[in-house]
Amino acid sequence: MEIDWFTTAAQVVNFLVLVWLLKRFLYKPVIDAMDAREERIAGRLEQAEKREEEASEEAQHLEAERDSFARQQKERMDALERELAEERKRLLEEAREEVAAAKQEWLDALERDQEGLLREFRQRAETRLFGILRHVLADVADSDLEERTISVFLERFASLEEAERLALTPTGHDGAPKVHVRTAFELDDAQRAHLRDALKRSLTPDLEVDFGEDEALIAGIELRLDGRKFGWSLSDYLDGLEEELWTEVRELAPSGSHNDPGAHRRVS
Amino acid sequence: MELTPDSIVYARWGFFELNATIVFGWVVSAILVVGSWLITRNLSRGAEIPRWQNLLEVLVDQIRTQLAEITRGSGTRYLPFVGTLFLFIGMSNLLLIVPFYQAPTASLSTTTALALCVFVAVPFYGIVQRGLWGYLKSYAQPSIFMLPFNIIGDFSRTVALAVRLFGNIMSGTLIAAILLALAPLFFPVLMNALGLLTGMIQAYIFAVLAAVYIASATQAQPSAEGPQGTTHD
Repeated sequence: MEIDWFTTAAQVVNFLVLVWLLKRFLYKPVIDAMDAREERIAGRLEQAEKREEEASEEAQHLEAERDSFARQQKERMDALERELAEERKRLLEEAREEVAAAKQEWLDALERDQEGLLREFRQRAETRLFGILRHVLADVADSDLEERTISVFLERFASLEEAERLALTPTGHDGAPKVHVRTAFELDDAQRAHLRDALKRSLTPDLEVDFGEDEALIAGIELRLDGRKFGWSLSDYLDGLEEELWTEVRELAPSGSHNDPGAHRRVS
Repeated sequence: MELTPDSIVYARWGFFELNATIVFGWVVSAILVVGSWLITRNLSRGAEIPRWQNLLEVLVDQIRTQLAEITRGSGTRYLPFVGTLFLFIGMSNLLLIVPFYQAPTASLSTTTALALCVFVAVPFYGIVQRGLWGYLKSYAQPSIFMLPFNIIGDFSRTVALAVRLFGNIMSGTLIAAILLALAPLFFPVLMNALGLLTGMIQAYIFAVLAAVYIASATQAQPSAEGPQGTTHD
């Protein structure tokens, strides 16, 4: 049991060589592999952390986008609702206007119908009345209706106030004084002479009388001078009757009709 | 009956002689180096690793962790030296179960060689770590009167290292041989098993003591990072 120094030296060398070899073939590769793995794991963890961070950021970003989208959607919805309300208001206004226009149109049409009806009524009444009157006058009088009409006209003309007669007197500043006489019937020469003489007596001796016919007068006679006129006819009575009828219709009809088709004929 | 493998000489060239200690030392070294090379030539750096690589990684990592705990710093710097001490002694003692095998560690020459390596490594690491003056100053700590005792302590612990390992392994081998002669069937097996246990314990003790001596020489300060810290890389 003694120390063999050669063996000891050899074992020292052996051991040092073994240290170097193991360092080369065992410790370094193994530690490198472990470090590489640790590094890789750390890298992966870091990557995972980074991804998690990115995902979190992305989630926040998406959440913000979602909120923004929701806000925009709400704004759009509000705008749309406002627009719809305005459109609804506009359409209602339009509908109201259309209804009002239709109503107005209807009222106008009604008025026109009323006018037409009255015109027809008046025509028929005139025709009937004229017929009846003619018949009655023909039956009851020994003179015919035209003669009677001329007489009534001349009587009324004679009973005019001075001022009224002056207003009907022609001035004759642009030639001979002249008046126009319109009758509903044809005058014979005797009737014309009778009328001319009577007017000359009432107005002026050098008066020129121009005769004409107008069926609208209905058994009447009318004197015209520079836009002024004087006459008598069944039309006057019929105008009164028409005015009364219009008043009746206006009371029955809805408001809006203000036309007065029955223009009363009087001396103006 | 041979007490030491030194006496089994296979060849001699004058001063040089090839005895069992050297031969089996080479055998153990070859097994370690070739085994390491075979395992580490195709190391996997991925998540899935072969079981042999796993074994080596566990072994190396365990030694490194132990070293880090003892030196209170990174164990990587002393890993090749202390790790090789443990692996060489451990493998030498592990192969005792192989017939006709002579453990190099049963030779006082081998244990002396290893103890000498530690004896040289301790001041080497101390000087590298603290500088020559800083290391020499540690012999006069806590006072100059302790200088001779510290020097004696250094030598005696080196001798103790060598003799402890040699005594344990040689005695184990010797007892197994004696019992083999007396009761050839049952006891040698038990003694071999016991020898394996004591062999591994001795390898561990030798390596740990070497680490402790190195740590005391480098005077590693406790780091806040704990045993896995990297104070002394």
